[in-house]
Amino acid sequence: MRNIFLVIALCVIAFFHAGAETESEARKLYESKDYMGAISLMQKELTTKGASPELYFDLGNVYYKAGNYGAAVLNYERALCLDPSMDQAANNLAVATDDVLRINESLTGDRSLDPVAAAPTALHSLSMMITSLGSNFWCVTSVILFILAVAAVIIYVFCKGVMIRKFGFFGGGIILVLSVIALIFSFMARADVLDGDKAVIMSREAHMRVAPSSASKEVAAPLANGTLVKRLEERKGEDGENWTLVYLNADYTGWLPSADIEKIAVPGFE
Amino acid sequence: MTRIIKFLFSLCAILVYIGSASAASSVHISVEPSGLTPGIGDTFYLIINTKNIAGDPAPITKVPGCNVLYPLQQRQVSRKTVVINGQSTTVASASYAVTLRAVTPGNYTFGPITVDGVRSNKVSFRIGKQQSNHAQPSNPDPNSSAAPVLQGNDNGNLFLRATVSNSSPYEQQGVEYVVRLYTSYTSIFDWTATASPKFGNCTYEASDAVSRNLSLADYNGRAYESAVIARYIIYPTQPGLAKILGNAYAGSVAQTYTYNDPYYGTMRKVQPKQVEARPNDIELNVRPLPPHEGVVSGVGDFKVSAQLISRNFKAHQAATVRYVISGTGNLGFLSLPDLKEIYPEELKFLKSEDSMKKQVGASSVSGSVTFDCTILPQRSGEFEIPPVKFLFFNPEKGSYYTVEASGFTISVEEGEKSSAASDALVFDEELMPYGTLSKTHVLMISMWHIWLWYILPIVIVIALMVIYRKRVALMADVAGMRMRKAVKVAKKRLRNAHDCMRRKDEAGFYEEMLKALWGYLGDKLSMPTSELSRDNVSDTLISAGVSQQGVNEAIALIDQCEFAKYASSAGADMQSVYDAGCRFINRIEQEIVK
Repeated sequence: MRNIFLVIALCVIAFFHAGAETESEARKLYESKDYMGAISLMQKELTTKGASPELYFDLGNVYYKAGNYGAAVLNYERALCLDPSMDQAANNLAVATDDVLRINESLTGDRSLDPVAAAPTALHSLSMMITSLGSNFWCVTSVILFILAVAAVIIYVFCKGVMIRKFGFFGGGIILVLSVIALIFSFMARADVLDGDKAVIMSREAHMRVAPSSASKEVAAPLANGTLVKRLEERKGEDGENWTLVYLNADYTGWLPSADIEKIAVPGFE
Repeated sequence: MTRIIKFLFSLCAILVYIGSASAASSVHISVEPSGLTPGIGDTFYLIINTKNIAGDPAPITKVPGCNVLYPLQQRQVSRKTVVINGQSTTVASASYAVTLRAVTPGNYTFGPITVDGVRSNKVSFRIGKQQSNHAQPSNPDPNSSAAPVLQGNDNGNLFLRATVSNSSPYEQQGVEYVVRLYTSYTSIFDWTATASPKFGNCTYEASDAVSRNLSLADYNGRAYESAVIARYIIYPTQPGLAKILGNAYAGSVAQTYTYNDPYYGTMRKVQPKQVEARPNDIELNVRPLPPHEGVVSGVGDFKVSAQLISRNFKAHQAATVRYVISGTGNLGFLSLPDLKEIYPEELKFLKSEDSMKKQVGASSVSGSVTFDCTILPQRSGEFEIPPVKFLFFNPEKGSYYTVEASGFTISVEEGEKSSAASDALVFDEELMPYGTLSKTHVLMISMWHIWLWYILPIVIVIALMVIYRKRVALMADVAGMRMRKAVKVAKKRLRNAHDCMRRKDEAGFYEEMLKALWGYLGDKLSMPTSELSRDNVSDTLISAGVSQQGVNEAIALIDQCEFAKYASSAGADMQSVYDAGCRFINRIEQEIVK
């Protein structure tokens, strides 16, 4: 019996040691500029053991260094899905996104291919603030506020003093409302994270077309690898391939081959 | 009449002329294929056509600029007889081919030759420097289709032989892989590969320099009709052993059979036959590139040129710099040095796109690869795009060489910054430790037990409120409260009496005892102090179910305590009084009907 435990313990140690070795090997490959080797190791970890915000961030960095902006943006976005408070991922995503915007601008000579639809409104800014703090933050905030609201009710019910009872009553009411709002924000942030509509262009160039067919007219100049789009609809084209209707901005909506884009939503994320 | 005679005479003269012309002997030499200039290594033919010549031409062993592969081969013999006015004229024609391989480029003249006393013409031909990329020349076949129709002599042998130009190449060095067919069949139809070749870990380019017809070639001291049926330029991608597996080919051959017919004698029959063949496998011993510093941009013989595509440069607006690498070698392996490291930070390198133009020759691939590099000037000012050094490896010389692409000085004007760009945006290239890896990630709000944090406090509050209300109700029932607390209060008073007893404080002891006894009875029986008397207590105890004896004991104890207190009689045993008091309370508790 003792031997069995020993074997199990050794296996667990070996498992974690192997994981640590793979991580350090990937780091060495990255530092020696063997980006393809590092990507291969990291993708293997992703497939066999699963993901973490840090692993997605590292993958994003390696892809960015290798010049694959699409994969870099995808991995940064996924890192932020898992940990919206990761400043490094937000920073590098902004860098990569800016590079992609400049590449698109170099193709058209203007900013017509920028994915931003219009100037940010107050509602849009609020939405960004909500999602940037993350669903878990709002969930914890809601629970804490609710417990405080309950404590205020207890004060109101059990305490004798008029002032303190007033505090308990009104304070409890306000805190309860804030708790409900925080709960709603948590659901909103969750919906944003699980949103299957957000996608990124993974092919070298993507040609948006008027109809789901390679023969149909192009809507705009080719979109660079790494451009963010919103998926609207999927359909099978005349050529038997799958096509997706995507929204770039208020001026451009068109069909792209589904193989050219990838959903940002993290696999296995609920 | 005179006219008719003149016409008939003219006609006879013409016919005689034709006949005499037909009967004249001639030898004519030409080069085939006509209109094409053979290159070094190409096979072509010297065709000798004879008319009314009795003998065969002598074998031709020397032709300037060429090697003679086969000195003379009869192609065709025909005999035609024309009978006019009972007079027959026969024309005998023959055609011969001399197979040549071009060796030395230049302009040459061959001839004249003499066959049976008849002199031929001279023929001029040119041999070019480069081997032709077109199909090998041969006797033209008007029925040729996309698949080669190979014709030759017939004695039934067919095999394939694969060769490489270099069995020990460097990594990424081009190697010519040729599959040659050797046969003695009359003709071969629909000769195609039934599987694709397996080049292991080598990349490859297919060359069009294959044969359309058979030509003579020697192998192991025997002459065969031969044709190149496949030619590839392969590039090993890794050092070590690279195995090239021969792939299968199939086609139909014309098998000639002879048999004896009782009426017509010896007859010949040609029947198609399916044939399959596979060339030999080849192993390459690939050598690694010699040690070097820096990134190798390519293997082969290359030149590099640089040019600015954009004319005006503005800050925060992308611009393009073009590098063109041209030459001969592995075009697919060409790459740029790390321009992100070479270019200054003020000219941020974003990406490069490449496009290739290639020509696949018989032994190499040549062409160019154009790299369009997008840069993003970060601010205005004068900047220098530095010269870029490209490191190449020449496998023929076995050494590295550097080619430098020119640099440029550019002037960047002020430009509009994008809304996303910020001066504070700097790429954070540090990697983070992975942390805990998990295949599923669940948000807290999606977990069912998060709702317990809402439900439990509510349940607790409700429970507290219920308990509190009950307590308040109990507190409101004063009499009931007193009754419930009677024993507790009595016990407290008895403890005080016990303390007095220990201190030998008789007065205090009896005081406390009386308080305990009367207090207990008042609380238990819910009687106000003003109504507490022996009679009332006795009646109430009796009606509460206490036995008469118990009542008497209670009264006696009270009397004893009062007497001891007020009479201050010495000798009263406090311990026994204390014990009696405890027993009294216990008894009442047991006997009283609740």
